[in-house]
Amino acid sequence: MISVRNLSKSFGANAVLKDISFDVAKGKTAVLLGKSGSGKSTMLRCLNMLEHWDSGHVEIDGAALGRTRPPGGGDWRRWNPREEAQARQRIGMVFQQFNLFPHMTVLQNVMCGPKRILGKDDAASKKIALALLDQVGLVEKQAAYPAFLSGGQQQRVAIARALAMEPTVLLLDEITSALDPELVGEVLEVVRDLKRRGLTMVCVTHEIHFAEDVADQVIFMEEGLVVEEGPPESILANPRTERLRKFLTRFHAQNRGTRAAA
Amino acid sequence: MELTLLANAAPLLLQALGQTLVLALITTLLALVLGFLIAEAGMLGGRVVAFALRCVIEGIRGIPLLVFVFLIYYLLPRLGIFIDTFYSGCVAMALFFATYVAEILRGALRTIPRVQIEAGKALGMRHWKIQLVVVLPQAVRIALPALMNLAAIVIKATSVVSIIGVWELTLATNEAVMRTLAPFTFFIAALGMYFVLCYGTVRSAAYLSKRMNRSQRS
Repeated sequence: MISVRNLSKSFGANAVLKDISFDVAKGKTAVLLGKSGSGKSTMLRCLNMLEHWDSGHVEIDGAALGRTRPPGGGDWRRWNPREEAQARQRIGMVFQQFNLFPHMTVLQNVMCGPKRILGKDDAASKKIALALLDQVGLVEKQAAYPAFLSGGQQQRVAIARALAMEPTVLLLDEITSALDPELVGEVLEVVRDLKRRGLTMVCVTHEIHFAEDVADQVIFMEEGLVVEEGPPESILANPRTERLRKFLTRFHAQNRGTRAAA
Repeated sequence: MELTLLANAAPLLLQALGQTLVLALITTLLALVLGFLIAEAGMLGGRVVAFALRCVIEGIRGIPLLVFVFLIYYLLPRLGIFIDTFYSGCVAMALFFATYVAEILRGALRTIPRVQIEAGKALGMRHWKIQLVVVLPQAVRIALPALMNLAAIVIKATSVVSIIGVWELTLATNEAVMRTLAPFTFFIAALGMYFVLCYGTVRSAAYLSKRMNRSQRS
């Protein structure tokens, strides 16, 4: 379970996250929805400390993330790189641009975590990697280099690479946004499968379909604030706030536009 | 007549060729490691360190190798370091060429996108592991032609350390010439051997480059 409390962050004078609080229950999928610049990606990046927040607290499975306080109270101290790296091993992340390691084959990419970080031997790492490649349907591509795969295939490998570390939480940052429309389905299928398996996920997207498709909980953000939060079927169908209503209207209008153009 | 001379000296010359090869290998490996560390220090250390390193690099690159070899040859005993002339030559050449490696790698390391480093971090790797597992292999692919070119230069530059008495191909050739008074025979033989080494390096660069580019779409 993830718990974010009163989290704020500024880049210089620009406040990007303003007093954000939300919870994600274990095994649930939360979607941070909003347009670009709403702070949703920064929020997600805070969850594995690729960004550092100014104030507030994050807990994962009941343990504070990013900061430590001596037992019995006292001042919070920010984690050092070693502590951060340690925690990140259990927090998987998948990026918009896949970010596979281009000099490694598909198999080597997925083996990378168990072998190079967890120190497992070749055979054990390979076994883990092949099982995950099977799960995302890419065993036959194991010897290929990422540059020779489609975007959808690369993204599925990226998911397998993250899963190889056996994360308790998976963070997905606009994972379908860089894909051609016809490739989105195969990646969503993998995400739905993970959801069925009970993995806790936090996804960032500006696409409402994505939220409708996988979310247990939608957190709509705008200008660094959580504007509205709730289960997708209620908040996407009956937005309570003017801001979310506008966002939805604009999205549907655009969508009609692109469909008409196509 | 002259071929007999060459045949008589052949075992010695081949041994000297081996010395040249060992010298070049040690120098290149040390220069690669040192150059990588210098490049890393320049990126990690902040402005002051980066500026200090720039001064040292430009300083060393502004001196002829010959002068630098002499400098190290006389400097090491002053610092209380007494090592064989062979190693003194290695140290001088490694330091000298490390500055070139550092410059080549600095440029190549910078071309690796930040997101690659983030991908490493997100998996739970720490700085050095990211550098060694993710960044360096990609940078080396980019820097390979320049590095192999440098390796060929190193092979030829090993002849310079004959001046401090390191026994290698050039010194051995010169000795043979002085004994036999047949300069053309021996220098042409030496030239042939240097050429084979350098050409071999350049060819293997092409092969390596092709291998490493298998990961790329042409």
